[in-house]
Amino acid sequence: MVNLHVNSRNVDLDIKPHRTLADVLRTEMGLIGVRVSCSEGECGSCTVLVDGRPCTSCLMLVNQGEGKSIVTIEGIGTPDDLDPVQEAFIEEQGFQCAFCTPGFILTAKAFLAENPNPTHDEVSVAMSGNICRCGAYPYIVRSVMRAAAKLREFA
Amino acid sequence: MRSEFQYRRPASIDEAVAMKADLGTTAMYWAGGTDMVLHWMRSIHSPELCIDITRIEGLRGIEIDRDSIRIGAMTSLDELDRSADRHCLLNTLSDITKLMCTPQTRTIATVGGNLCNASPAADLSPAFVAMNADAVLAGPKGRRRVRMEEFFLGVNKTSLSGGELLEEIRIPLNPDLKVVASYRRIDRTVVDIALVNASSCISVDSDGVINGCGIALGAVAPVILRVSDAETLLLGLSVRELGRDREELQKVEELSAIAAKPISDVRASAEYRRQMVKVMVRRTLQDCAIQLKA
Amino acid sequence: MEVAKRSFDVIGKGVHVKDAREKVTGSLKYAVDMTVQNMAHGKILRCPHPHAKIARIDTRKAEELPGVLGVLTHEDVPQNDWESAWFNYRGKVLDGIGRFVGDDVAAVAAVSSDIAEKAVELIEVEYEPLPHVFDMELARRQDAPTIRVEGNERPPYAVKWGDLQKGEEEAEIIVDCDISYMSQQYAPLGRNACIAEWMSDRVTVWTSSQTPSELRDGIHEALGIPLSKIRVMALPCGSSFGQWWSNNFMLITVLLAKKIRQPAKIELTNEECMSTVKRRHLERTRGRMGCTRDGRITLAEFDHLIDNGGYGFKDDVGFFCVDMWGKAKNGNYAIHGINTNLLTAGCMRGVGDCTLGASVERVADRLAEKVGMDPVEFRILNQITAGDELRMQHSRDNMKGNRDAYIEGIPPHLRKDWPELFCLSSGGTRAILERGASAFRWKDRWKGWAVPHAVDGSLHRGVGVGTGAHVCGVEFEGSSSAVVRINPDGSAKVHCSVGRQGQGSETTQSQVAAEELGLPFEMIEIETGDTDSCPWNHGSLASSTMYRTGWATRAAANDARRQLLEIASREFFDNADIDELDITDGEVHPRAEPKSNRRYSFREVLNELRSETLGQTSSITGRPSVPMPPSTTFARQFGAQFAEVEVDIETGQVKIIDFLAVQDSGTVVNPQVLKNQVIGGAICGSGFALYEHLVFDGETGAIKNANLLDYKLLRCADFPWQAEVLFEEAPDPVGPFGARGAGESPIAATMQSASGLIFP
Repeated sequence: MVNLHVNSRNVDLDIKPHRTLADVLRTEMGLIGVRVSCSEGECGSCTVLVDGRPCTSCLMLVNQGEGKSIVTIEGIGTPDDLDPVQEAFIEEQGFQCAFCTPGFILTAKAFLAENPNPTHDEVSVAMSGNICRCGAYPYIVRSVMRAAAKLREFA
Repeated sequence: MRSEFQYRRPASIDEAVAMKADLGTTAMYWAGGTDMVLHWMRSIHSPELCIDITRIEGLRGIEIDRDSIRIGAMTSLDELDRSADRHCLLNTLSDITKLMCTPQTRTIATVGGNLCNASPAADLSPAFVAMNADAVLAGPKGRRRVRMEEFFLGVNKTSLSGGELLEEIRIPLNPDLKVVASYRRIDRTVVDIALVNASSCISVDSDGVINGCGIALGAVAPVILRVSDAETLLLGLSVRELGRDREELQKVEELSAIAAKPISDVRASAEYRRQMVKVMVRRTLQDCAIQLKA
Repeated sequence: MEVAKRSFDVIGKGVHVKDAREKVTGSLKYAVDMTVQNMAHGKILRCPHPHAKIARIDTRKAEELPGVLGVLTHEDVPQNDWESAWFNYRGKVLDGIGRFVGDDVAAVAAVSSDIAEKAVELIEVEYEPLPHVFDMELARRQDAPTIRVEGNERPPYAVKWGDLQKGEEEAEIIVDCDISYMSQQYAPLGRNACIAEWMSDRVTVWTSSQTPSELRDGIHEALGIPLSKIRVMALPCGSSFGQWWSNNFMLITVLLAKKIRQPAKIELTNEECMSTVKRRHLERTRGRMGCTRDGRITLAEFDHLIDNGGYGFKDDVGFFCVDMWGKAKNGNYAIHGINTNLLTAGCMRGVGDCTLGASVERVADRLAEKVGMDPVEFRILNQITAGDELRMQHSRDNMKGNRDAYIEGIPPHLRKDWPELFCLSSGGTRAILERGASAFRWKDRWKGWAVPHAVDGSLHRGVGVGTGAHVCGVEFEGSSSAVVRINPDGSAKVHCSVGRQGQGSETTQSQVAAEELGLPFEMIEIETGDTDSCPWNHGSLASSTMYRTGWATRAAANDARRQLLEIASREFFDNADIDELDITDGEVHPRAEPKSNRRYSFREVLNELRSETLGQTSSITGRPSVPMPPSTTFARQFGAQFAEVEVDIETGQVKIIDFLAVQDSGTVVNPQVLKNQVIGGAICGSGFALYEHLVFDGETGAIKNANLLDYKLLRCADFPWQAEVLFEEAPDPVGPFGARGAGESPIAATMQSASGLIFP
C-alpha cells in the first residue's frame, strides 16, 4: 500500500513498489496531464511539483513520493478556472501541439515562486529542462514573462 | 525484462547497511535514483530490494569548518546549487550543478548518487578530484576514507565493496591558503553530458605563490584522470603567471593531452576530445587566475 | 494576378486556438491517453538483423504465458501491399522478412503491457540472414543485395529545361558541389499509440494521425476490406513533422485486434518512435551551378540521392528549390530514391528543401562570393517572382500528357476561374528578402564572406541569410474536400479530416468557415478526426491544410451560405436575388442596408423552415461543388531568414544569437498561429543544421542514439527568445481569402541562414 498526497487529496493505492511515480499518476489516478515521452528525464513532459519543487516523475519510484505534497497540472487549474500561468500561456500561445505544456507550466510556476521578477534570459535558462519539439520557445519565454507580471499583480 | 522489487526506507545508516548485508547483491541502495531507474528499466540492474537512503538524516546537508567542507552523499544537486554563497569552492560546485541534467532532475538526483554511478563524463567528479576530496564510505566493518581519484575504478565501477555506501565527501581546506576552483566542459546544447571536461583547483599563499594544484580530466578515460605531473609544474609559480603565455602552461596542456586516453563514440571523436583537453585545461587555469585576482 | 486586399471579420485575427484550455490544463487526449473497455495491450517483436528471412517462428511459449491473448505473425497477415501517403511506405504489414534492425516481425496481445513485453521475448524465431547493404551508393550497384522486389533503385525523378550546353558556355563562373546530409529524426515528443476495435466485420481505429483519410485507405489496401467498413478516429498528435501519417504499427494493431477478437492497443516507447518508425532520408547532392559575372545563373545541374531505407519509395523531393531558383535559364535536376537496410525513411517537414534545397543555396552563395555579390542581392536577382514560369512543369510523372495537353484536358468552365497554370500565382522572395534585410540591418551586419562582424577572443560572430520555398499541397493523390453543417440553433460544424499536430488547423479552418458564413468564430466547432463524418481529405501534409483544405472548407461554407440565403430569400425577403443579401454576425440582412432592422438569425431562418415544411431540411449541409484547382501548378510559399551566429573557433561550439524570419504565406489567417509555425520550423531547422542526426551502427545499421540524451534537440536557451517573425502578405487568387501554405518553407530557409556562414 502506498499513500500519496496528490492535488490536495490523500489516496491509498494498492500497488507494487516497482512503478514510477509518473506511471502511477497516469494509470492509477487518471491524471493524463502528467505526460510521458522520453521516460529518461530529458524532456520534462512528466514534470510534477513535489513539495513545491519541479521533478521529473518518470525517474521517481512511486514510494519516493510518499509523505510529500505532489501537484500535477490538474491541481493548479481547470478549463473553467485557470491558473494565471495557464492564462499567460494561452495569451502568448506558448505551445503548439502542447504535449510538453503541462511540464512547462509547472516548471514555470515553481520558478516564478522563487523569482517573481525575472529577466527574459533567466526565464530562457529556467525553461531549458523541458523540451518543446514544436519549437515554441520564444513564445514560452514571453508566456512566462507575462505570467510573472500577472502574478506580481495578484501579489 | 525489468525486475520486480520490494521497497524499504531505513531510518539510519546502520539500518541501511544491515539491510544490505542481509540480502547482498539483490538489494540495492537507492539514492535519488535518476540513474538507477534507467538501469533498472534497461535491466542493467535487476534489484529485488530497493533500499531508499535519501531520507536518512545523517547523509544529508553541507557543513563547513576550519579544515574541511563536508557534503552529505544524499544532498540533492538542487541543494548543492543553493549553497553557492557559503564558500568559494561551493560556488564552483554550484555552477557545475547548473550544467547537470535538468532543473527537474536536479531536485531528485543526489551528489552521492552521481558519484556512485561513476560515469567518466560526470561533471562533479573531476572537480572533487581536483579539490583533493575524500570519499567517506560506511559499511558493516565501519568507516573508511578513500581519495576521490581512487574511488573511481572504471565505467560505473567504484571502490565501494562489501555492502558499503557512500556517506559523505570531504573537501580539505587550509586556513592559511586561498583556494579557488574552476570547471569547463564541451557540450552541444544547454542540457548535455560533457564530451570532454576538466577541472582545476589552485591554492595560493599570501604572496600569491601557488602552493597547491589539482588538475583533473573527465570523459577521456574510463575513470577521472588526475594529471599529477602537470600539477607539479605549476607549484611555486606566481598566480600572476597563470594568465600569461608561459612555457609551463603549454607543457601543462601537453601533459594533459598525453594523459588523456579518449575513445570515439556517438558524442565525439577521440581526436577531438584529445584536442579539447588542452583547451579545457587552459581555460580552467585562466578562470582560476581571474578568480584569484578578484 | 493581383488580388485586392480586403478587410475581414475573423481572418487575420489572433484568436486563441480552439483547444487552448484543454492544452494548458493537460486534458487534451492524445492517442497514448486513450483507452477503450476490455482493451488488450500489444507489443511488437523486432528484427535484430539488418536483413533476414524468418525461417521458422514458434509462438507456443509466448502463447502459454498466463495473460497472453494471442500472437500475430506474418502467417496471419493478408499479403497485400499497402502504401502510406507520398510513397512513405510501401509493403506488406508483415511478410516474413526483416529489412532493417528494428523492423516489425510479430506482435503479442496480453492483458497487460508487462506481460506482452515478457511474451515477446518468448517468441522463438530462427532467422536466415540475407546479405545487407547500408550505403546507398553500394545499394544501387548491379551486384547489390536485393532489398525490394521492385529493385533498390527505380528511374530517377527528373526536371530539365533549357539548353545545358548553352548554359555552360554562357557561364563565366561555375561552382561544383558534393554535399552529404545526415539523417534527422522526427524525435516526436508525445510518442504515439493505436487502438483498434472490431464490431463484426467493421473496424474502428483511434490513433494520433495527420492523415486520417490516408490511414483509412491504407487499412483498406492492407486488409482488402471495403472503405465503408473502416472508421478512423484520428486524435491530436504530439509534434509530428510527417511522422504520424499512416504507419505500419497501426496496421499491426488492426490485425492483432482482429486475431484476438478483442480491442487492442499498441503504445510505442520513445525508443521505438525514434528507431523503428521512420526518419528523414540520408541524402547526397552532387552538382554544379554557373553564372555570369553580373550574377545571373545560366546553369543549374544537380544529381541528388536519397536513401529510403527499407520501405520508402520517395524520389520527388525536388520541386521547391528548383522553382525558387527558377530564373536559372537552363537546368537539369535528377533525384534518385534508393532502398537500403537502414530504418525506413519518409517525408519529414521540408523534405528535400533542407537537403537538396540547402545544397542549391550553398552553391548559390559560393557563386555570389565569386562574383562579389551580397547574398541577399544574389537571391533577389535569381529567384522567382509572381508570374514567372514554374520549372516543375517539366516533370511529367504525375500529369497526363505534356503541358499543353494537360491544360487542354481541363474543362474550360473550370479553367476560366484559375490563374495561369505553370506560372507562380503570387508572392516570391523579393519582398521578404528586402523587408528582412532592412529589419535585420543586414547591410550593417554583413561584412563579407568569411569576415566576422565581431570578435571576442575565440568567439567570432557573423550573419547568414537563407531562403526556402515549398508547394501548398499537392493534388496528385486526390482532391481534398470538406463539409460545413449549419445546425438549427444557428451554430455550425466543419468536418474536414486534417491533422492536429499543433499547427492550429482546428482553429484556422474554423476561422475560414466563420469568415465565409458571416458567423461569429465562437459559433463554429470542427471535427477533424472522424472519417465517418469527414469527406476524403489529403490531410495535413505537404503544407496543404490552409491552401487546399482551406479552399474546400471555404467552398463548403459558401455552399451552406448559399442554401441559407436561398431559404431566407424565400421566407423573409420576397424571393430577392441572394446576391442582394448578406450575412453579418450570424444575421441575414439586405446587402445594401447593413444596419437594417430586417435581419434574421440563422436560427430564425432554419426554424422557419422547420415549422412549415416538417423540418426535412432544418439543417444545412454545404460542400464544394467544383474540384479544387490544381494548386501544385501555380501556388508556392516562401520564407527568408536571417541569423546571427557565434562560433568558438577553438572548440567549434556554436550559438545562435539573433534570428529573424520573414514569411510569405499570402494572407495571414491567424498571426500568432503562423508565427509559432514559422519559429518552430526555424528551430527544427537550426537543430538539424547544428546537432540533430542519427548515428547508425556500422555493423548492423541499428540506430545508436534513439534517445533524447544523445539525439540533441535544441532547448529554450539554445535559441534566442528575441527571435521575430514578420509577414509579407501577397494575397493568392485561389487560396482561401488569399492565404497560402506555411508549414515547410520556414524550415527550408533555416538551413543556410543558420549554418551557411559556418560551413561554407
